[in-house]
Amino acid sequence: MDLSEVIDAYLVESDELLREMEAILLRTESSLPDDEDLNAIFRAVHTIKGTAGMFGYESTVSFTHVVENLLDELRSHVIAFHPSLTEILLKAKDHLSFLVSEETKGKISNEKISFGQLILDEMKPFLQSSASPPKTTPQNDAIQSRTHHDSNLNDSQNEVTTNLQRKQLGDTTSYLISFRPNQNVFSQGLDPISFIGYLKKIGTILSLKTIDQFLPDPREFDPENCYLGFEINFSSKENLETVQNVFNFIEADCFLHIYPPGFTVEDLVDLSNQLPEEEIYLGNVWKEIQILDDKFFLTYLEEIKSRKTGIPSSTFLVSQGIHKEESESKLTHHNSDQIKDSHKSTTIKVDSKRIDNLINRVGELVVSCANMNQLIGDSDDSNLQESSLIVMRLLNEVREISLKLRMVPIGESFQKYSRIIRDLGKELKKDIRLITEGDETELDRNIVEKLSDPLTHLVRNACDHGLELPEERKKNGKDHQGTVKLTAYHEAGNVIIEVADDGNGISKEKVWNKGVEKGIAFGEMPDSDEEVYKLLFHPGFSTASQITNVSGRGVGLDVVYKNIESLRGSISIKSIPNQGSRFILRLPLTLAIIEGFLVAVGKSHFIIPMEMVLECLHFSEDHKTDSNQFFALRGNLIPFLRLRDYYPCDVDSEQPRENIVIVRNGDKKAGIVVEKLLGEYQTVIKPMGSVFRHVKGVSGSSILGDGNVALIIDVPSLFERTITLENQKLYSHRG
Amino acid sequence: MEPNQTIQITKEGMEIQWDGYLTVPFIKEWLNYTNQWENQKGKKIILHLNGIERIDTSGIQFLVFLKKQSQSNQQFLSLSNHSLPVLKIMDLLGLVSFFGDRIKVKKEHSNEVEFRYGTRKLS
Repeated sequence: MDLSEVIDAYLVESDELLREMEAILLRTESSLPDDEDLNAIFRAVHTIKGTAGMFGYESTVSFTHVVENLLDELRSHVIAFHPSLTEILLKAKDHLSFLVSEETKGKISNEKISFGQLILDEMKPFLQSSASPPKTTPQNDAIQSRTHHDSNLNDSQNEVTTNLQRKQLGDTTSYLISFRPNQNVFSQGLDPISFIGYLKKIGTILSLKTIDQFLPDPREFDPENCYLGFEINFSSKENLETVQNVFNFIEADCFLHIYPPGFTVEDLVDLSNQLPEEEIYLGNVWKEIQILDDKFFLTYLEEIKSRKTGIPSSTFLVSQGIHKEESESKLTHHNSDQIKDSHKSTTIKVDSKRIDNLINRVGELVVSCANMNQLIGDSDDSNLQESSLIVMRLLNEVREISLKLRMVPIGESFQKYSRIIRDLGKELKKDIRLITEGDETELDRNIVEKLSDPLTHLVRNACDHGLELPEERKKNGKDHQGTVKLTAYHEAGNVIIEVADDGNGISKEKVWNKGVEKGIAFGEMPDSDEEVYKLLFHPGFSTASQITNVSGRGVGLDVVYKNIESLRGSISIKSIPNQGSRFILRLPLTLAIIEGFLVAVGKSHFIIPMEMVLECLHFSEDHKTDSNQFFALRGNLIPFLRLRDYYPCDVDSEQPRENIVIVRNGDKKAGIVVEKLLGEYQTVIKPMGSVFRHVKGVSGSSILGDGNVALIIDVPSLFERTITLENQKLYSHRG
Repeated sequence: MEPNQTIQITKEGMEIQWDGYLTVPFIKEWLNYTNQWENQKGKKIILHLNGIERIDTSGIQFLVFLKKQSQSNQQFLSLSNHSLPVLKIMDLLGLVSFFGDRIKVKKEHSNEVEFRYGTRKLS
């Protein structure tokens, strides 16, 4: 097995768990965490510790161990949750995040380890406040967690449980080994029992149960297949690695799970989900091999039931003394969790590279089918044409399904800004709250990942320069708490993401004057807000009177602009003095395949993204004489440009009949004059080579069915380029 | 060693003696023999295993299979005169109570088996 895949899975899982932990911790700032929250944080840390232990990541294990102790005391109410713990646990989460990623790369400096120690030192006062100091051996730790897990008992019962548990684990060297050889193991020349026999050389088999549930009917019984499995309660003073090494030769031909001493009931429930047998059957097996005693067998069953139904068992609620109302609210909470769980159970993790490959292949298929369709369209065979239409329809469905595979809700990435805003608020001494809307809006994962930096920059800007200090806000008659709002929604085949603040807005005069001062703006301030705000995206532009270590409105916005542009997106700003600013990012849904409108100029082909096309009209003789480059459409004047003027096109000998394609970019309309309208065309975007990276007005290329290349028009940047050229002409005339 | 089967018909059913290796190649042949047991409904089948010189996972799996089959066919399969290799594997896999037969351990073999688990019928 490729270890890197397993490590990747560990990284992904840890990242998810830590994000969940952060979200819960941030909630604790406004309301104290409930048992569910504390259990969830504990589980996150516990899981990371377990997996890190399997890989031998010592730094992660030793750090999480102490954090886990603290969380365990919190969830078992040995200590109460103090608000200052939020800060410490957030630091711990950050450090853990760092440890997880760095240790997999094999580079943890002593400096970083001592930084972790500082965080642990901050936890010490809380740990010491407990009546009994936390035990540091994994075995004792497990006893604790098992005891606490059985939270349906009152204190005195807990004591009894602890004793029972200690008694049961009198031999604290008990491993649980679940061993299921693959069916074809005999043909590999392997005898599973010989491996079990070898265990005796490094310890004692306390008990073993042979699982014969999957022996088939006589007609299907094949002596060459192995149908048996084994659950083993094994005692050894050897470490996990040595026990695992016993199964080295058969590892690839079996399901093997070894829990080192210290596993909990929850671990057993997790394991039961991975094994083919029924959970209750397994519970009985573990009872039989003395892994579970009667009491923990019941806990195990309750946990199974609780996970399946999402409802904690009645004994749990009664013994906790939870009031009916609370129980009801918990039930509702659990029901929503159940929905999440049922969603989780139908979700599989797939390497994003595989999905990319699939989408690429589907893309190729789309191109080939378009070509086939074109050829079939020319033939007179109506049956063939009908079949081809059915294939195209199915292909469209496959295309849409495959594209959806890569779609993720933007809410996942919105979540991280609550932490950024919290930290910035503290740093800048501002009271800021984050509101998110449209978390469920889906966007291509690749775009979401690339959006992270620009969005962070805009959020930091909004906090630092957008929002005023609380006193200033009060003076302006505003609530002392500032708001940063992240909104996402779909519009005309695009995703719009807005970063808004209710701060003091952007002063147009200030921006324009600064532009003039820097020599990038000339003359009087134009009426168009857009023209003025565009200056903000100029490299090195800032109107900030003070430079803070957080941001300056304008500083780095050029980078944001470039990032958004590289995603084939656009950015615009709206701002009202004393009411706030809005940065509006307009992005394509996906980067892979687009619905295009194929046009031709001479012998050259171009594709205009379909979602931008409003209508196509014949471009009459009258318009051709219009030197102002405006086209009259139902009483409105619409600017237009001729593709021929911007790109060298081979000319057809015939006098072309011109058409105009009216396109929409945001809330504006414009016209593109072309010669031939060839209709809708699904197209796979091929990125431009590095030589053409800086070519404006083109976002990519596509191979047509007949092998010709078509350029995909980047409408916003084409018009921007036009405006720039017009301005240059204007200034040269004035000059 | 070639598989060898000796069958003796009794009043109650049949007594069978197996000799040889209880491993995949031989089980394939023994499987044919056991197919003939199917018409022995309600009968007692005693399988003597003192001639089994070698047994592996496939062998013990086969015995477990036969035991389960006999139960569903309403036959009474009992294993008898277990050879040391058979005893050792039944001991290791905790299968003594599963088969439920009397076990006789020769004095010279007493150090070879422990019977720490799987010897007690659980409810």
